[in-house]
Amino acid sequence: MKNRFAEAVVLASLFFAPRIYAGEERMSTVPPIEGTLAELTSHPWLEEVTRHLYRWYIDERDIAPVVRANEIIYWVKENKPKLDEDDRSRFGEVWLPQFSLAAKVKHADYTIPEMNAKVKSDAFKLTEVERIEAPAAMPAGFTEVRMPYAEVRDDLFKTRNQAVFPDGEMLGRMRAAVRAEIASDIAANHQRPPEGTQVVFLCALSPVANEVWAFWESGRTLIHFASDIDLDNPAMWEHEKLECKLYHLDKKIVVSLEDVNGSNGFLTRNEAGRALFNCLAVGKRVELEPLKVNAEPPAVKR
Amino acid sequence: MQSLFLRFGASGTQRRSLPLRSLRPLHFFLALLPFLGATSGELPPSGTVPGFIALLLVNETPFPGERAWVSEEDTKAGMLAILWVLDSRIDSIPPGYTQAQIASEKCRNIIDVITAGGEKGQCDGFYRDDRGDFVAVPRVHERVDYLVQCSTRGKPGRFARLLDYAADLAAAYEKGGIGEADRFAGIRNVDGVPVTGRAYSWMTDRGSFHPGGNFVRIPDSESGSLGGNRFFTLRKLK
Repeated sequence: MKNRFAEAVVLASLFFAPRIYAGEERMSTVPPIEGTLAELTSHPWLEEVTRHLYRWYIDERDIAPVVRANEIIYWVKENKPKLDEDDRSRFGEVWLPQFSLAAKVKHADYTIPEMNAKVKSDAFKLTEVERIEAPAAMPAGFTEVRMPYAEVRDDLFKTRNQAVFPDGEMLGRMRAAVRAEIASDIAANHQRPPEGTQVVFLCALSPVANEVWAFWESGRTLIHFASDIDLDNPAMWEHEKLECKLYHLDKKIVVSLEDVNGSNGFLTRNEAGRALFNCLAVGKRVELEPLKVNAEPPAVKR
Repeated sequence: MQSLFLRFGASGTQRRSLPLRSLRPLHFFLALLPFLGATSGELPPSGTVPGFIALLLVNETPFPGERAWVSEEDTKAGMLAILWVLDSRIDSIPPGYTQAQIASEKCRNIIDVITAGGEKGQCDGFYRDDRGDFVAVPRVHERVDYLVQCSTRGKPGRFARLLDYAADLAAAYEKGGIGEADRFAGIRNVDGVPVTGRAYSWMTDRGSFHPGGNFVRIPDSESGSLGGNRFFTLRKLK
């Protein structure tokens, strides 16, 4: 996946004519953008960000302002939060004002001695995506990038069913992690393990997000893994307990989070619908070996 | 703010009122936290009030390797901000609101706030069981136990320091309350919307996550994103 992405970056750089505007001032020539900002304004990378948002966040109603403008506008900036010693990670933001979306991104580069793990991303990855009220004018500190809507649209349309799925060792690790989470959930809920092979559907991987959704069919449960560690790094799956959340379709889905006083334990129907579409309709079916779950559920700690 | 009193006792059910001036030692203590003794990486038992608070603080904030991880300082700030939210929900209800609207139900102390709402509560996985004891679901303990386990590998590092910070913060809160230092207390206007100040909710920073109703997102310019969480204040009603 890394090589394909790197090739795409090089090839696309040759074909896309850069149209970058720095701050409020339009530049007539290509400005000397280097380093982190060069990566954040790179068209191939922004296209991957757009593809991810298109799959997971953008709705039909979001498209109208872009169609009218005939261009997709990106506001990009580098962030420099105070980091721990020896942490060389880089951070940034990408806003798509026409879609009212703001994303934070990170290029991780640090070590975790306690886990004996090196965390080094192969590209900037999305860490947060939020709906925002976009201001009319670009805020200070951002750089504007524009891409022709028709080109991006055609590419997204052509590749809408194209998906990269884990295979080989990575699939093996992911399969084991999903199986462990299911077994843990069954034990925690004092249930008997279901008999026979379990079926889960995995969503496609994105080169700009370290997250995976899986739908466990007979358990009617969505499982979400997210990490700072790249998914093809074995360390991610050795420590999968760190960021895994389960959402039972029968218990954890609401129309609006207002129904549940903003609890973090729920998904909206819209979010769940999107995850189900990406897992079931364009995802990959994976079978898990029958579960062996401890007869004794875990004791409640007091 | 001047009328803020502490409402907490060691048992979690007693109430105690202390004048604000007695909170000063807490501030001093918090400032000294980074320089205090050796790191242990242990949390007090979750069946105790400080243990339960510490469990929540650790559960709700990112550690190295997790997606929202930025730095030790950011996670510590996130823990403190969460504690502020919980404390604000006890007896700093803005005019025009009831406690039940903000905290799901009537709450006398921080344990009530954490366990409020049962299944629909703000603090997913934290509840009172049939006996009335405050407990957390196994998934919470699994993650926190794992972090504690990690903290014991090699010489004490960030994991141990973060666990210690949560434990010390929870113990200090139980002993002396949150005080008047509130990062969000002074916010009066967000993008033209008059707000009450203080934070009353937090959510994991993710797309479309919004508590809805009168909650107003605190922007990054006001440090509204800390420790992997987005904090929300309230629209001013009166």
